[in-house]
Amino acid sequence: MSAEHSIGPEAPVLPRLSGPIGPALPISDDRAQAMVNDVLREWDGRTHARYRMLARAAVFTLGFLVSGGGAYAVWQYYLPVSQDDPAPAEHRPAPAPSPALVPAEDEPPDEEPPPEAVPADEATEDVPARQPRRARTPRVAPAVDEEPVDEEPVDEEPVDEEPVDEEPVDEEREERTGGELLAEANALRAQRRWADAERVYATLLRTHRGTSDAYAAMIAAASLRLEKLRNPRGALTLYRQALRSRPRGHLAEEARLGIAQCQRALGNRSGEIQAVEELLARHPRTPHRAAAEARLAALRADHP
Amino acid sequence: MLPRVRNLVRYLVPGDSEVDDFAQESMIALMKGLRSYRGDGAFVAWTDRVVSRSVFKQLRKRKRSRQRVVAVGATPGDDPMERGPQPDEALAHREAVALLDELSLEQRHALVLRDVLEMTSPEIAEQLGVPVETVRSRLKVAKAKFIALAEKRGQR
Repeated sequence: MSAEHSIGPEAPVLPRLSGPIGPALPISDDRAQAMVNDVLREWDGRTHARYRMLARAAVFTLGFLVSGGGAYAVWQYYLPVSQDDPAPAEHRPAPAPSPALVPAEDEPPDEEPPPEAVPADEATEDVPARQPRRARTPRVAPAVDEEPVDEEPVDEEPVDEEPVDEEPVDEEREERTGGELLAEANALRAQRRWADAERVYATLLRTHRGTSDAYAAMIAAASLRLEKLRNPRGALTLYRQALRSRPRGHLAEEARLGIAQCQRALGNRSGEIQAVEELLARHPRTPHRAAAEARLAALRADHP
Repeated sequence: MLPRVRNLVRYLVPGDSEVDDFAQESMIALMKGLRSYRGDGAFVAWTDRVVSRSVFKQLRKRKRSRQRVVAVGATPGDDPMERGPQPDEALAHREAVALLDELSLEQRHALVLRDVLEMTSPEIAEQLGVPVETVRSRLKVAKAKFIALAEKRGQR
């Protein structure tokens, strides 16, 4: 066993899983079959329960809509009869103070009578259809139908549509999950195909931006660049990016340590001093404390 | 599929008594997640991840409901070796989990994720929701403890 100590910290101590052999007690085929059947039954039950719930919700919603729609239709049918025309006549001028309607009154004075004439002529047929339009008129109709001049509120819409860059990302995001990409990168690392692994990490970073998988991939790719691909500058970029994305993330200490190592590899003494100081300040209980302090002392001694 | 799921569950959960319960839930999680699998990566790697996440979730749920998972070995007749003697390789696995049962769950999970699922420390940190240095120290302690236990057993 003492030989195992000399194998190094990365040597596995647990046997890997291969085929059906593993640590679980073997079970008979019948029992395995019964277990799979149980799983399928359970899955089926859950699916059915979900469908049943959805069906109930759909029926309830439909019932609500039908009864609500019926009530609304009845209300629409009787309202004009009880209030006759005064209501629509008063409703029209109401939105008039809004700037959208002012030109409407100026320009088409001929168009004004129809609204008043409509309820009288079409009271029997179109009233239900007209009513909702009338209700919406003060807000929407003036801007859309009549006067595009007053579409000031439209200014707000382009602001909401800013994140255009995300569209291609969404397309790629559907290809593979972050976990799958990490697993693939791991498999490539195990084969010592560092550059290929880095490419997979890059894909993950591009397609799963902002996820915890991307965060882990950033650190993993950075260490790969630093330790295997001799690209400390690229590693530095990734470490910084990881730190920016989650300044207090689980891997922040790793990122700060990585930055210090990158600066050292790049021969940037002042940068390294700054990074080590930051590591010690932000993570006073780091297990690298002794080594970091020693390195800092050495750096300062060289250039006081 | 089922043997691998059961084996991975056994690696992650102490004792034999609840392996099939955890495995069953994990299989359901796999079926639920099947839609998200696009077929690009290795299917085994994907299932391993889903199973491990499902086990952690179940363990957290049990922890919340104060239900403890206790390492209970197979009792004779309770879960008999229905297929007769196991191959040597399986015995090595059995010895390994017997030692794992003596580690804390945290140390155990870190060790299994690294050695069995071949995850890197940052990935384990993300999976377990702990800092990477914690993962490293857990791995270090777990491995030392594991080796010490193995030596102790070897001397008997």
